[in-house]
Amino acid sequence: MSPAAEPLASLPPPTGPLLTGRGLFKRYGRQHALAGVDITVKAGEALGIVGPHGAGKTTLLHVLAAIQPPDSGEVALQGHRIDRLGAAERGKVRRRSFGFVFARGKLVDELTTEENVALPLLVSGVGRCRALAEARTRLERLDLNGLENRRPRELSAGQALRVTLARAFVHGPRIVFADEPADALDVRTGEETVSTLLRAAREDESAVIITTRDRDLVARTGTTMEIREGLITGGVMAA
Amino acid sequence: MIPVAPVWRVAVLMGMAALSGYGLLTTADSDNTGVLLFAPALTTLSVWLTGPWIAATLGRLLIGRWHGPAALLAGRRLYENPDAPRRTSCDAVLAVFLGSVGMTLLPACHGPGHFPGEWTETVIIGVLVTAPAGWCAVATVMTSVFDRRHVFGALLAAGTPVRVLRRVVSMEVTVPALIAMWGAGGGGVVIGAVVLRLLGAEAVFGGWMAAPAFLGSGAAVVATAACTPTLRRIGSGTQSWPYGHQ
Ligand SMILES: Nc1ncnc2c1ncn2[C@@H]1O[C@H](COP(=O)(O)OP(=O)(O)OP(=O)(O)O)[C@@H](O)[C@H]1O
Ligand SMILES: [Mg+2]
Repeated sequence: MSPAAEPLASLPPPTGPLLTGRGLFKRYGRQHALAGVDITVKAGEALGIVGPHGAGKTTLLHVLAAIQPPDSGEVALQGHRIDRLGAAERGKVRRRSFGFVFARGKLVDELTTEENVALPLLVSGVGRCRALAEARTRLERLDLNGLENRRPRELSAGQALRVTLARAFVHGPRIVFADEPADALDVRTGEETVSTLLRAAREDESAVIITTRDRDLVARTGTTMEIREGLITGGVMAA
Repeated sequence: MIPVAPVWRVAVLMGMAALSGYGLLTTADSDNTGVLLFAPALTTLSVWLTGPWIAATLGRLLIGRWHGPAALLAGRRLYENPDAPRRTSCDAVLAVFLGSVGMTLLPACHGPGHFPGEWTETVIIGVLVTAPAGWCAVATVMTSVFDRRHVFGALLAAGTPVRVLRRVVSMEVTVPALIAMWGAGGGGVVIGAVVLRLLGAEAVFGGWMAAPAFLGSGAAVVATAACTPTLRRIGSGTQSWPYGHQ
């Protein structure tokens, strides 16, 4: 490990809620994307957020993950405010404590599968050999062995999505944010992918927040919330 | 892996060199404007042919030796997509080439030893080189960022520092541009010296001949720094979604 490496899990062990959002508002011009959202995520919890197009799902994930600051309200990770930190500090929180699964994967085209998976480690200062070794272990755990040296274009959509799952978990994040992970997949592959995502989160004791427009898809998460026009409407229902 | 340096590129290049030598010799007795017109075209073609080879070779070096994410991203990109920087950097390289030819010819126009006393010409050449080189460098850097705004946006959203991506841009755009500019600068001096000899004068060599390459390089380095606000904007998610799911 290089001396410059950042500790990957520098926060104290979780007590109380892991992530909280309180009174979150976000506007684009006159459009209210978030109109007062309160949300709590416990350590290791699997939370599904379901809602139609334009409901505010992506905006909510961005605000909770400290990619974008809210107009008002606060976001706290284990009791520490993260929404008002500077851009560089918020970036540090994201690369240390969060993992991301973007709609349609967003793998880097030129990199091999194992290099794509190793990226979050490399960005945190982990050395080449160790990062690639851990990436290969992750790929194996997701039944992707043999695909280490393929490029994203040589993978099926389902395989590519599983590679992004490996990338999201490789650095041991506290929370993985998955925005419409099954969006580009057929129903069956989508269901398999969400199952794999939930299993990976369970095994790693990581919390996961999944957004989707598909009610059936989130039925398997521990907690499901419904969002409409920037408001949590459907009460929290435990599965 | 097979390097992207097909033999034909080198063969065509050598053919062009032979042709230009022939051109220089045959126009020696009569009118030299043919040579002067021919040389820039030759440079453009050389850059066109060797640029991707330089880029791919640099990429291969980086892929073998990378330690951090920036060298990995830049190396793979250069190796897989060596044509990308060529689109816009060609003009900058041509400007440096012509500037270097001019710098070599200038003292002869004023008699040897009088250079660099003639500041007007020096300044004019400086502006003629720096303006297009700077503009091209900015365009190349911005294209490189814009082409990959989705991937860069996703990397920034995941917490990649802006500094890492700026390093990617400087390795995959600025470094090849610098190599090409210094190559073109050297080529310009050689062509200028040959033309002078054909005219019956001798070239006076000096550090000022490197001025165009130096100015072009400066412009490229400044252009790289200029991509920082763009990267910040992509990473802040304030414009359309960084990973463009629409
Ligand atoms: N950058 C932006 N500029 C202007 N309006 C925006 C922007 N991003 C989102 N919006 C608006 O905010 C509202 C919420 O958008 P958001 O993308 O969060 O919804 P979503 O639930 O993710 O939708 P989808 O299912 O289509 O992904 C929408 O009305 C959208 O048009
Ligand atoms: Mg969305």
